[in-house]
Formats: sequence, structure tokens, C-alpha cells
Amino acid sequence: MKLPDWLTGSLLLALALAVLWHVRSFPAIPGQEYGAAVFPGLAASGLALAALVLIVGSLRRRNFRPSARPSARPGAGPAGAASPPATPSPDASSSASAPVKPPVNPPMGPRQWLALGLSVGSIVFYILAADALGFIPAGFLILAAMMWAHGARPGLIVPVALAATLIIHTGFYKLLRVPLPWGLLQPIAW
Amino acid sequence: MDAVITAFWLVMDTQVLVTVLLSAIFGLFVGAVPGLTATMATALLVPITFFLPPIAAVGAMVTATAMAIFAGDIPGCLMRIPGTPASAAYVDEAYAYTRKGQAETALGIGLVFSVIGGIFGSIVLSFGAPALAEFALNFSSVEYFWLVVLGLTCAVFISADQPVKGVITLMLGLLFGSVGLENPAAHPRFTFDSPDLLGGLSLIPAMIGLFAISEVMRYSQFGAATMKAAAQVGSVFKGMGRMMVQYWRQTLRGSVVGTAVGVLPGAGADIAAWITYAISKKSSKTPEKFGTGHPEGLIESGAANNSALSGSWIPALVFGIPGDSITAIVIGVLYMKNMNPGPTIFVDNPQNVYAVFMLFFIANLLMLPLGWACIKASARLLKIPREILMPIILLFCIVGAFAMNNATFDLWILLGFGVLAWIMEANGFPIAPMILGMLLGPMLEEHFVRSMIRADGNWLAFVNRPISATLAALTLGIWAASAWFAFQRQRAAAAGPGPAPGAGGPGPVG
Repeated sequence: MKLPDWLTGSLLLALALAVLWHVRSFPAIPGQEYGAAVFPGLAASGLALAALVLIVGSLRRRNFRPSARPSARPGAGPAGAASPPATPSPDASSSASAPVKPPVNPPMGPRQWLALGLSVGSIVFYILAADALGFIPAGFLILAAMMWAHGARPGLIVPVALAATLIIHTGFYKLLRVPLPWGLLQPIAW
Repeated sequence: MDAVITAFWLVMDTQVLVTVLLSAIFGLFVGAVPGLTATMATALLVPITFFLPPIAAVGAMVTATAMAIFAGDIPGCLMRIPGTPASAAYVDEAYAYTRKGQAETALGIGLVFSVIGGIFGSIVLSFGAPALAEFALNFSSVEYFWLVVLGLTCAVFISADQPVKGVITLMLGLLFGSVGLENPAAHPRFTFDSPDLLGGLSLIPAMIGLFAISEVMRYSQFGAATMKAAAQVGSVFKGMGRMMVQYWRQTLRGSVVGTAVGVLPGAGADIAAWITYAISKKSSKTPEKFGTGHPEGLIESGAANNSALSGSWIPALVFGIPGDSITAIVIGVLYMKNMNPGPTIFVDNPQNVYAVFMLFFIANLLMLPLGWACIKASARLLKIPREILMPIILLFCIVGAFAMNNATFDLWILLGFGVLAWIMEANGFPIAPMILGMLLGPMLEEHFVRSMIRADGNWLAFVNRPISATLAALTLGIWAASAWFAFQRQRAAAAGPGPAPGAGGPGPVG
């Protein structure tokens, strides 16, 4: 998820200002200058400043491009004079087209979106459903869905997901005594 | 001396040794599978260390990370995919060996010189840390304040291509660190009246999110490069003795620079490898051979990334200031284990510190046989289906984050920081400053407020002792220097067809 720097910067600036506004409500310690508000206030000021630098830098770069392009065309003479006419292309192509070096991130298809949604969704699902379903059913469902979405061999999914869930459960519940919820399986809890 | 003997028996405990062995295997596995990093190995270990006695817990993390940094060389060499970021600097060099049919030489170099670098770093740690601690006993909160500021400064300016993005994540980290009641005024800050937030954002779930969940998400998004490793690996140790003699200079330089980079907060094994590979090429008599399967660079950076690992423990143990993101996690664990880092631990619990040093030596020596076995098994190891592995890691993260406090709320933290790290990574924001900010924020605030109260609000108190003045000058110097560099870069970019128009330089102008 690539966002332009001016947008990230603006969001961060808004956050910093909100924090600065909010810390004003922190009570001061009587007889002392440095209360709860000082430190977050400093951090938020730093954030605001850095966000401004980011925004300005990003906008300046953006303004460069449209203005530089038309002027570079007629002014190809000086640019061409600096380097032989055959070589300007590698410099331009390296910044214009994708870098040639390592395998670049492929574009995302529906399959990737599904997988990505499932990695986030699994955690949400666990938070909401684990207490009712229990760790073993919830964990099994998460593993099976994730493996399926990532293209595991269908025959493997159910046995591997089941085995992995049981191993993790045994490790954490029995050995490390983490109170993982039983949920539906409460009657046959072991 | 008594403490050393006590430490020896602490380490020679069966539980400790078994833990070390198991975490060595775990570390080799994580390192050898691309997409799983040494930092992630540490984050995944945390829920387990929670249930181990202190020395075993530290041993697990020391061993797993050392093994992972070495094992990252294996897929880098055989498939040109670095197993961990620390191997990225020299994958092309190592892969060139494989193409020549000499994979065993590159792997042998990786193994032998990782061990040498690791042991060198451990020696520096063992002698440097106690000496530094003795010196640090005189530090007051002012000096600590500057140390933390210096550490955070290094983190921002070393690890980021764009320092401003490092500053942003650092500030965000400081803000995250200030959530909750833990502040001089004991006022509930940014809790939104939620009782779950009174204790602050739990660090461990946040770290697992930042370093593991984000990785799973990236895997979901981009998938994995196809794994093909059919290389036959011959005798690994052949010719290594000759190389040790011939390239002792590179070995030593790599180890020294690696350790130094490790000590600097915020810069770890990966940056050490990049820097030393560049140094090696620059000072080589035959720089044209680099990239064609030439040992010099491999030796130097292979030694460097493992020595950086030990070096990063020096500030972590002495000041409680992490040298990299791995030690940031380690410090969290040390606090949990009542082994609070700081100069006093060297006085109060020297046996624990000596035990840590011994664990470093054990881990690095153990690397020789286990690393060899791992290389031999690599063809099979690299076939591990990640479409099965990654879902299991996800479930493991969920359970691990929950296990810390048995709190479902921590899973929201896990998710939130995972998504945040994923967005940050995609937009070029470094993650290490954020975790350092979260960890060191409360410490920074405490020292700041304490110094201010003691000095009665007089700002001069921050610079009127020799050590604090030096630290302050150093910090401000780094800020000034990087501001100057940024300015120079901008001027070069603005001047038009500059020689290096920076990353964002508009193409057509050049």
C-alpha cells in the first residue's frame, strides 16, 4: 500500500496537532513545571515538524516534474552535451521504468488480496470467536483457510492444519500453562 | 572469580544446554528460510522465554540469533535470495560461487568466518562491557538522558535512507511509549478511558506484530520466489585454513568494524554487512574481481554481521540501550526476567553477566558443527513449503502475543502494529526507530524530568559536567552533520544535472 509522501505527511501532521491539542488538558503537577504533558508534547512537536518537512519535500518533487519536463525537451542540447547521445537513455530508463535488478514485487491479483485479507482477518476472527469456539476449532479454521488461500496442496490442508493446531495447543496449554479457551470443546477438555 | 565459577555452573545446567541446542536448530531453520529474519526469530522466541529461567531465556535468544545470521547465507548462496537482511549485502558474490559450481566454498566461508567474527565480537563484549560498566557507574540521569538521545539519534540517521522518515517513526514510537499511567505525574495519558491501556501498550505483542505479522502480510501480498536449489554441496571446510592465513587482514577489519557498528544503537548486522562489503571492495587490490565469486568481500562482511550481533549487546547490557532491533526485544525480556540491564547488574549480579558472555562463546562454537549439518541438509530445508509454514507462524504469533498477559486486548495491539509495520515498510519508513522509541521513551522521560527537577529547571545542568557535555556535543554534531548533508543533497538536486540527484531526483533533468 504505497501512499504519496504528502498524504502520509498530512495525516501525521493532523495526528501531531491532535496530540498537541489533547495534552493541553493534562493536569499540571502543583509546584512543578514538568508534568505529564511535557514529554508527549515534545514528541508531538517533533512529529509535526518532521511531517512538515516530508510534505514540503514531497510537493517540491512533484512540482519539479511537470515544470522540468517541458523545459528539458527544448533544452536537450545542454543535457546532451554533458553526456554522449547514446548514454542519456540508461539514466532516464532506470528512473522511469522499473529497476532491472532483483525480482520486483509482482502486481497483486485477486488471489493475493484474498490472502492478505485473510492474514488480517484471521487475527480479527480469533479475537472475536476464540472464546466461543475455543482455541482448537478457531486455530484449525484459521490455518486451513490461510493454507488454502496461499495455495497449499488440498490433500495436505486438513491433516497439517489439525496437527499443527494440536501441537501448538499442547505446547502452550499443557507445557507453558497458557489458559487457551476450550469453547465448544469444553465438555471433552483434556 | 567466584562469580565466573557460579556463572559456569549456571550455564552448564541441563535445561540451559537443551534450550541452547533447540534454539540453535530453531535459529538455523529461521535463518535459512527466506522471509523469516533473525529479529523475527527473537520475537517468536519471546513467548517461550517467558516460561524459562533467566539464563536459559537469554541463551535461547543469543543462540537463535547467531545461528540465524549465519544461516541466512545459505539461501543467499544457493538461490540468490538472502535468508535474512544481514546476508543481502553479498548475495551476488556468494551466488557467483554457486554458478561456478563452487557453492561449498562460499558456504564454508560463510560458516567459518561467521564463527570467527562471532567469537571476536564475544571477546570484545566480555572485556569491553564490564570496563564500560565501571565507567558508567558514575553516570547521573543527565548522562543517561544524553545517552538515550544519542542512541535514538544514531537509530534515525544510520538506518534510514530518508532521515526524516526515521524521525517520524521515532516520534511515533515515543508517543506510543507514553501511553498509560507510567509517567512522572501518574496521569492516564492517551488511554481513552480504557482500562486495558492504563498499563501502556504491551511491548511484546507490539514487537511480534511489527516484526512477524507484517512479514506474514508481505508474504501474502507478494508470495515467495520460487525455490530451486539443486546445488550439490561438496566439502565445506576445504581451503578454509589457507583463507584464514591469506585474508587475516579482511577478517580482522570486518570483525572490528562489525562490532563497532553493532555497538551503535539502531544499526545491526545488516548495516554492518553493507558497510564492510563496501570497505572491502574499496581497499582491495583487485576490486574488479568483486561480484565474480571472490572471497575477500564475503570474508569481511561474513565476519562483520556476526560480530555486530555480539557488539549490539554492549550498550544493551551496560546502559539498557539496544544496539539493534534484536537487542531491543532482548532488553524487554531481561526486564521481565528481573535482569534489569544497566551498570549495576555488573556489580549486583556479575554471575548473570558472565553467564551471558559464556553463552555467546558456546553459541558461536556450536555454530561450527550445527552449521555444517545445516549446510548438508540445505537442499531439503529450502524445499519447506512456505504456504504451510506462514499460516502456522501466524497462529503462533496469535498465541504468543496472548500468552504474555493472557489478555485478548493484546491481540488488537498485535494486529494494529502488524498492519502499521506493513504500511510503513511499503512507504519506506524504517521500523527500528519506532521500537527503540517505544522502549526508551519512558526511560528518556524519566531521566529528563528527574534531571530537570534536580537542576530546578536550569537547562545548563544538561551540559555542565564533562561527560554530559561530550555526549551532548556528539549528539548535536550528528544532527548538524546530517542536516548539512541533507542541505547539500538538496542543493545538488536543485542545481539541476547534479552528479547524484538523490533517490527522488527527477529523471529528465539528469
